[in-house]
Formats: sequence, C-alpha cells, structure tokens
Amino acid sequence: MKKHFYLVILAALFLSGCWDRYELEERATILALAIDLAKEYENVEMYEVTHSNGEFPKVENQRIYKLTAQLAVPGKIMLGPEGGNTSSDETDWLLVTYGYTMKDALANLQQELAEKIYLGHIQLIVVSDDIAREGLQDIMDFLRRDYEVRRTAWLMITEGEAQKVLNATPPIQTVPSLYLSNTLKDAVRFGKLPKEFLGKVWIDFSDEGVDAIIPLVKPKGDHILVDGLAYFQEYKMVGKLTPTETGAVLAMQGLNPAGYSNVVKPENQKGVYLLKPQRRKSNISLTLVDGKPKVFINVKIEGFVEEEIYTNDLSDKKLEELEKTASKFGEKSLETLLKKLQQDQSDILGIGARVRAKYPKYWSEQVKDDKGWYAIYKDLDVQVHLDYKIRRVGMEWK
Amino acid sequence: MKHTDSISSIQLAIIIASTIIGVSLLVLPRFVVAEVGEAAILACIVGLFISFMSVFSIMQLGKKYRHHTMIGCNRLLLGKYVGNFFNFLILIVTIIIMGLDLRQFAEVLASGLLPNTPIEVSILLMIILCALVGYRNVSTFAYIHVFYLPFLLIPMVFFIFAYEDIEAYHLLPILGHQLSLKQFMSGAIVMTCAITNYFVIAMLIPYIKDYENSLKNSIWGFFLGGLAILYTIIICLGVFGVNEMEDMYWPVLSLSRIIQIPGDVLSRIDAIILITWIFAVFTTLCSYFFVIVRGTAELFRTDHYGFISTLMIPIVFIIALIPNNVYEIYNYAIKVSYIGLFLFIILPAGLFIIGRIRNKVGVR
Repeated sequence: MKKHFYLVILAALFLSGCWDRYELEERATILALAIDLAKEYENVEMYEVTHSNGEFPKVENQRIYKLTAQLAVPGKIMLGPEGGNTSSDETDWLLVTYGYTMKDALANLQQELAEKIYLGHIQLIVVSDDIAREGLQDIMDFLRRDYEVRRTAWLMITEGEAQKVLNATPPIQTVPSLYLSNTLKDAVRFGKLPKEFLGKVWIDFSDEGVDAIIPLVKPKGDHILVDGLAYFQEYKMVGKLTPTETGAVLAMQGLNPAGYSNVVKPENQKGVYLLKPQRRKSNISLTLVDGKPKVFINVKIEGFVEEEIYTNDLSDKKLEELEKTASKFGEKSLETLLKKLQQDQSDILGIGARVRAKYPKYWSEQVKDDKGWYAIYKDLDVQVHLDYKIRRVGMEWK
Repeated sequence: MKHTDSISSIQLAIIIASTIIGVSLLVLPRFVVAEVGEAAILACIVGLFISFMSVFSIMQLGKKYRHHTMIGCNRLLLGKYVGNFFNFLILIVTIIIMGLDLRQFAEVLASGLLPNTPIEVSILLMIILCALVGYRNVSTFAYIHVFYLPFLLIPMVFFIFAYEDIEAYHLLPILGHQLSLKQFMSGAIVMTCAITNYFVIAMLIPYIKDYENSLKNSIWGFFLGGLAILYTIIICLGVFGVNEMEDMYWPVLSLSRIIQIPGDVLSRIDAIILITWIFAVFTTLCSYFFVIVRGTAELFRTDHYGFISTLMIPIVFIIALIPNNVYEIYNYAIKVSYIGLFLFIILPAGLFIIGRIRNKVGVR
C-alpha cells in the first residue's frame, strides 16, 4: 500500500508538466500599444467577438478606439551585439484593431492572431491627446485589472495620432519600442522628465489633492521628441507644459539631477548666459492663515555657467549679478507657471495632498474632496522664492 | 504522555515569527487601510499590541501549566465538558481559517501567476505538502520553520528600493481623517485577527526545553514578525496612499511590481516576492495544520498523527472550495476571525485568570 502511495507521489512529480506553460513562440508579445480615437472617415472594421453587431450598450459620446499594437517577432530580436543586417522593420509587427473598449479591441486583435496575446513585456502605452482630454479612466480599468501589465511601463501622451509614435523606427536599436521606452527612461535619468511611469500615474489619479503629469512626446519621423508634460485634472488632460516649464516643475519638486539649461540675460548688459542647475532643493511649506492655506515654495538651486556669449567678462561681481538675475527670472517664471496651473485647476505639485496631510481638520471641514480643493486651489496664495547660486563656470576663467 | 522530543525557546520565537508572516500579508495592508486610512500604522501597532497581550497570557499560562497544551488547559480548568466544547471550537475555527487561507493563496496564484491552473490543484498540492510534514515529531516542525525564516525575511529587503516613491503626504496625518475611536479600533482588530495564528505556541508549551527563557524569546519572535508586517504596511501606504490601496486587491503584489532594483539586475521582482510569499503561506499553513492534527490527536487521546492528517486533507480541501468568489472569501474570513479573536485572545487570558482563582495545579 505504502509503496503504491510513493509511486503516485513520484508520478505526480515527474509526469506533470506546467499547466500554464506558454513557450515564447506561442505568445504574441505586445511591446507597445497606441490608443487613438477612430476617425469617422476611417474604415472601421469591427468583428463580432465580444458582442453581436449593434448590441454594444449605447452611451453618450460613444468612443471607438483604434488600437495599434506593436508585436515582437520572436527569433528576430537579437540579444546583444549582432551582425548588421537586421533592420528594425523585421523585428516588430504593427497591427491595428478597433473596439469600443480596450478589451474589446484586444479581443478583436486576438481573433486575428494565432498566438496568445501577452502583455507582460509591454513597454509603453501611447495615448492620443483626444482621448486624454476626454478622460483616461475608461482605458485605465483594463490595464489596472490585467495582471500581466507592468506598473513600470511608460504612459505617454502625444498630440495628434498616437500610431505615428509607434511608426518611429530608429536606426540604432533593433526594437523600436525598446528604443522609445529608453528615450523616456534616459530622459528621467538626465532630469528631463519626472519619474512618472504607469504605476505612478495611477497613484496620482487616485490620490486626493494630487493631479497627474504624463510625458508628452511628438513623433519625428524615425524618432521621437520629448515634448514636455501633459497635466491633468483628475482623469482629464487640461493642458501641456513645454520642456522649460517641465524643468520648472522638476525644480519645484526638488528633483535631481536637473536636465534643462536656462538662458539668462542680466539687464542693461550685452552678455547672454546659459546656466545649468546642478543641485536643487525645494521645500513646500504650508501655513493656515485666517482659515486659509498659504503656500510657500522655497527653491534652492546650485548651478554653473555653461555658455557665455556676446561678451567675455566673467568675474565674481558679474556672477553675483547673474545670480540675482537668475533668481528673479526664475521666480517670475515659476510664478507664471503656477498661475497657469491654478487657472487650469491642476494641482500637479500635490499641494492639496500636503494640506490634507498637515491640516486634516481643515480638509475635512472646508475642502472635503477634490472638487472642493480645486475651488480653493484656484485662488490659493502661493509664494515662490528662488535662490540661485552659481558655483562654477567651467574651464574658462573669464 | 511522554515526550521525547523538544524544542528550544529560540525555535519557539522563530515559529512565532514565520507563522504570523503568512497568507494575510498580501492583503492585510489593504484591509487595515480601508478601515482607518492613514492611521493604518498606528492601528497596526495597537493591533500588534493586543496580540502581544495574548502571547503574553499564553506564555504565562504555560508557565503555570508547564505540561499542558491549550487543549489540556481547557480541559483542566474548564472541566471536561466545557473544556472540550472550547477545544472543538478551536479545532473547527482553525480548520475553517486554514481552508480560507488556502483559498486566498490559490486565488492569488490564479489571478497573478498561474491563470490556467485549476485552483483545486494548487489547493490540494498545498494541503498534501502540509500533511506530509509529519506531526509526530515536534522538533521536525520547528526545524521547518527555522529553515524557511530567512527565505521569508530576506526578500522583504527588496521593498526598501521603493523608498524613492514614498510620499510623506501618503503617510500623514498619522491619526487619520476624522476617525472615531471605534473605527480606529476596528482597524486595529483587523490587524489582530490576521495574526491570531501565533496561537500555535499554545500547542508547543510542553515541548519547550528552556522555559525560563521562552517568554523573552517569544517576545522577540513576535516582535520580529510584527515588525516585518508593520514595515510592509508602511511601505505600501507610503507608496500607494489610501485611495489607491483601496482600489487594489493585493497591494503587496502591486508593490513588488513597481519596485525597480537599481542597476537593472532584476527587471521584475514580483516573481521573487510571490515565491517568498508561497514560503510564508506554507509555514503558516503548517502551523494551522499542526494545531489541527496535534489538537485532534490530543482531544481523542490518540497518537495516530498520520491518520489524522490524512483525514484532514479532504475536510480542509472542501472548506477551501466553499466560497464562490474572491469577495466571499474575505467576507467569510472576517466573520470567522472574530470568533478566532475570542478563542485565541480572550480565552487564554480568561484561562489564566480562572487558573489563578481556582488555583489548580497542573499534572504531569
């Protein structure tokens, strides 16, 4: 009896395979997704996969998504350095489907594919600004619910057609989407973008008193341009920030390293200087004055001179003047930026969340929720102080 | 009964630590946060303290009745009938909790790792694994815990890499938003309920070699396990914040998906965390099974441990399959754990007091 029992156990150990075995070549690995709204003139082809024709529940402003998926072609992607004759148009495969929802579109895509769709390696999700301006929550639910999607994937917004971003086939790397996601990753490393990947964006979406910022990109033929940030109010995109404004946001968040140089021209002088911040420190402090929150943002920047043109006369006196001008100039641009954000009612710095954390009683009595906060945030008293210090000037004395 | 095997008090401490780090770890942060919001950290500490009182009373009870397990104590102090009634209740509740924990485990596997594997298979394999441990020998059981503890604790270090994403405004205000004391305590009780499984030490008391050190060491063990749970909750809350955590099912699993190890050594650590968690599940379920098997054996005064553990496999298996969906599992689990709260926290303290009043002396 006992012998048989052991035999059964042994058989179970050695005869069983893995239930969830899917070999690499049996998977359709989606590396990137681009989500557009289907235009009216497009020849929208909808299969009856998740619903019969005309049976999809009608809602107001029904959207039809156009999903472009970039699939990795197994076996074509080289690992490591390889001989030069593989070009990127062989390693990926672009497929377009339509659907009323994300899953609907993916189900339609699955219908066309032999392999099982696998989202575990998804690198980036590009969304066109049409969708972003109408609100992102409808496309987020599927991505949040599906266990394969990584929270570390990148979410990008692009003005115009998102599909064009995926068409970018850079000559220097074999997998376009890897190149694109590396563009963003490196932009974060160089301080050009905040670290706003999918998981972080989701957290910002659900937090009270914080609004999301999502990298904005622009297709440039075979590569992409990091075009600043799109800022949101709850789930809706309300505006965009240029790269310089992005730098200002990063400065106010006190993030290092700094990625953007700034042009500064002291008044009544010929010289124009390019300053690059090296170390930044920011302190957002709050006080409650007469039952109203008052915000004080203190930014400290240490930088160096990168370029000097139209003149050649740097000295310690000059530097002092330059520091003053840079501080004043910076302060002004930060203030304008904050005004713009307040006007659009987008609290990307998380001032609301800080108020909520520091003055819970005030929040629960006066603000209550996001809506209440926007009303207060609009006319919030925000003061900015910027202290620019220039530490070095590079290899030139003057 | 004559006991030839014994465990040291350090082993006892390790058993406590690796038992309380268990199935609930994955979902516990969410439940505490859903109750009390930002006050989760404080609620967690208070909850741990309540449990700690119970550990303390169990150890004190053990000091007085050196040669009795909880089952024996019940019988000795409450009389044959009442005592056995409670013993039955303890066993039934433990069986149900184990079943539900198993189901949670299988559900996580099904929705996060192995979507096509039938949950029956993962449940059954886990029960068989637990049953194979062999409960004749207490020291074997202790060694299993000692062996697995490093596997539970070391991968938790990875969570520290999420520190960059921790926002202070997620953790503040530390007292939560307009919490009444009742709400706060309900959060603390969730915490307490989730870790009632340290109760296994009440079954181990007669086997401890150096009882004089055991109180101190059991406090350390409890402290270690509690700290690991607290640390997980702090990181989860700091990274996700209250609203995001309420939206998620298994925040720790999501946390492991957000962590990026510097230098890109590992691109995904969620697999490692899941495997760690499977170890944690195994050690915790082992403890439950230990209580079930040894408890039943003592209740019926036999030592056919192998027979009992085989008998228990289908029972636990069926209980694990009762809930219809993920929401039901947690509804049942919360209800049962309130009964558990009485059995595992109030009962030991009550027995301790009764022991004082009746002044019974334990028998060898």
